[in-house]
Amino acid sequence: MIRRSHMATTVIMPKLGLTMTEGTIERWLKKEGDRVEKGEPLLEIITEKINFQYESPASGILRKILHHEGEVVPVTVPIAIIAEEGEVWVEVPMPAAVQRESKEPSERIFVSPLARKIAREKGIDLSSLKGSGPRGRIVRADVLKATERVIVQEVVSPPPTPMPTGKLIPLKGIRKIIAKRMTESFQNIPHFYLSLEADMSAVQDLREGLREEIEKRSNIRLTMTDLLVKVTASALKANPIINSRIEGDQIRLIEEINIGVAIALEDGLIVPVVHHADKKSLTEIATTLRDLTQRAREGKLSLEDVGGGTFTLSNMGMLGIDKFNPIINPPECSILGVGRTVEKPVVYRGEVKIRPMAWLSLSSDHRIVDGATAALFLNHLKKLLENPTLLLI
Amino acid sequence: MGRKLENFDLIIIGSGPGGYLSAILAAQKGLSVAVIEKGDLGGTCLNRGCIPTKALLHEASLWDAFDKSGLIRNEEEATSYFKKALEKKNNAVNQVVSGLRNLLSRDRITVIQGEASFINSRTIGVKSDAKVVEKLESDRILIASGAVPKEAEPLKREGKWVIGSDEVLNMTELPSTLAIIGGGRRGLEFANFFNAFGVNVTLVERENRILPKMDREISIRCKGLLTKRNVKVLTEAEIISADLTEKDKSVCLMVLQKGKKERLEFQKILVVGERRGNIDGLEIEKASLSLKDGFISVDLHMKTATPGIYAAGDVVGKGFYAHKAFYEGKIAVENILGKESQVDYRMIPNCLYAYPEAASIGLTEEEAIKEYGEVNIGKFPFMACGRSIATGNQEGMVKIISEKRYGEVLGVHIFGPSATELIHLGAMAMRHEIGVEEMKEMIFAHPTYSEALFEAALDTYGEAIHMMKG
Repeated sequence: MIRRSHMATTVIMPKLGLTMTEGTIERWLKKEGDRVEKGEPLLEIITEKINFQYESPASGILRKILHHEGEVVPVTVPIAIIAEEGEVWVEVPMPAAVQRESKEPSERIFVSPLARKIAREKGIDLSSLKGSGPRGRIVRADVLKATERVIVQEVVSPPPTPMPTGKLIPLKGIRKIIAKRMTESFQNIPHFYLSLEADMSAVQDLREGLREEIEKRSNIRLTMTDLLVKVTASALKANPIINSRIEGDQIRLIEEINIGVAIALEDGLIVPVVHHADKKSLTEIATTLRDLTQRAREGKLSLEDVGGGTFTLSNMGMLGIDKFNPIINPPECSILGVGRTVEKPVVYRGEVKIRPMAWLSLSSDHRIVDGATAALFLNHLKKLLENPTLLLI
Repeated sequence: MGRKLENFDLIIIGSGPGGYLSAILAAQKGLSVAVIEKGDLGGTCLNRGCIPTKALLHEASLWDAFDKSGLIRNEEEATSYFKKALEKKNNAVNQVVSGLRNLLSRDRITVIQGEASFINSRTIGVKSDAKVVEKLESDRILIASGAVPKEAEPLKREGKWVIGSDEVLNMTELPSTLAIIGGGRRGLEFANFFNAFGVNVTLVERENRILPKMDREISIRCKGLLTKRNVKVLTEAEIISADLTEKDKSVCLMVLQKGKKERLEFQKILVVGERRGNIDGLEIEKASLSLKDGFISVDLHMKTATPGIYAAGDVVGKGFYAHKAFYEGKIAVENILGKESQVDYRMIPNCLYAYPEAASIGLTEEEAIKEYGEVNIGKFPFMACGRSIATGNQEGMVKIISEKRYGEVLGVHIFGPSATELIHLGAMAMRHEIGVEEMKEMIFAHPTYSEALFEAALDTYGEAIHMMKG
């Protein structure tokens, strides 16, 4: 049962984006009985992609928390009640969906006291067992059988190593999202990697040429990443297969070109998206990226800001990296890793010259993209970087 | 007389507890069942065992109470009450036997009076006056023919001086001296019974303690009590010879006890010693079966070595209890019906209907220590139990043996009032994995004998309430 009133405010699991169906309550920032003001952060919610600080929709006392930390709750289902002191609310039955979704087993498990004790000691989850007693009651033998299974698993795993000491950091919040998504990607997508070097002198010259003007007009400092987004958008337009995704047993060639840009944060990384990058001017791209970066660092990105990406750009140049193979950000099919621009001797027009060079690496999903297709895209990118005037065509 | 050949889904040999219960269970599941009985319907339990002996013991306890009251004390009255007790016993037997007859007819079970004998592994001949009068056929046969006393030299039951339990039940006069050979549960029940009626009883047991199958503490307490009541208890004693020529209405036994020979005179000698499976006339060899150590051997599903033939109850040995036979019969029928169930003998209560009563289930203290190393013991004397004080039934104690880690109940031993009823709390705890800690959380009515179990559970953790700390 939950209690709901006409006067009190029911806090619901917010729908933070079009595709969001459920959210995990990561942390309540207020306790029951705490006073909360409208707009004040109330709880942290994790969705598929981000963790999000949800602000209180009303002022009052947090009277009742209906779903606790770690619970997965469908959107629009009540999660808390905010009411003024002395305000009462009536009881209404809890929606069935919540009972089903709740992680805590609400159904009574029939188990003998002995079996319960052994299970607790051996760390066996009773809800996972099938009882052999009368009408499925779990008895000692059932728990011992489950214990044997655990032991068998332990036997086939490598010999135990001494437990290392050191600080333990819980795998939660954004770290947990990254862990889950990267594992899924790397386990499910057949990655392959291509790399080539591009001569960056022309694009550097272009940046120098535009920087002052853009700074004067928009008070924004043009970065190499802004230019890379612009160039990549153009290359993607010419190679639509790289801007695609798998939908069941079909491949969707996506019309929009929305380029995600990986941004390192203190506790992880996030990939806000420059939507319609192919239709934006360099100034617009730069403005958008600056805004996204700022909000990412403040933890204020919306689900829309991080959703809808069709391709990801990861620039590790400023971190002193020459070359790396990034992991694809699903459901996208490719990701570009750009290394630092470094001056080195290369053969340029028949002579050994010192040129500013950078490695471009493309990781692609081999279910969609083949080596030759990826090579075409990567070469197109190189051509644009080395001859940025082509962007004008 | 024309021989007919009738086919049944199940043929059961014997109508005692093992036989009749199986018949009812199978009939309830829709099987056509025939039960063949050569003696009295209901077998030993109803006619010569559980029911009549309990009827007699009850009367004996009443007489004992009168006797102790000091209001009556003469031999004539004892004999006349003894005769009344036999009458009451007969009424009880008639009532249970006619009840059984109704149950069997309710379930349309064919009851055939006659002696069964195998023709082959799926055909049984029924004999009357040594002639086969009927043939029955089935793919499933259950042997529940019970057990009979094993004749052992030098004491052969000849019915006059040396008798068995069957003869006791039809005694009309009380002997003045009686030797009971066998200090197990049945020997003790008879010792109590005759002692109550003023008979001078000597109990002879071969092992080093009476009730050798029960917890040692019960044996010791029981022996103390019998001695106090003037029953002579000889342990580690053996009959080496018997002289059955009458001298002064008595005969002689030569008893060897702890290396010492003693010549003792008795008016009657009751032998309640060993038993063997009753396969007399069954011709089990025709069904490719044979005896092992006097009994038909079965696996945990109650299956014999011959496919389709099952056995249950006293005929398979392993203790002689109607409830063991019920249980084995149930397991046999479940297997006949295709369910793979197995017997678990740890869960069978062991009951002594003397006064006070004794009952136990599970491991004895010695067995538990042997199997588990260290164990927890919780004990409580009835002397400190309110109901016992109120009724004067203060003899005895409750002992709960539990395993240290989870508090699992390994054994419950009760010597005292209503022990045979109280034991089921232990049986339930053990069968359904309720530990001592859970027993501590139950609410026991006051005053009851059951509270002794509660206190013993508390004592397991040194928390008993109504007891001085030793």
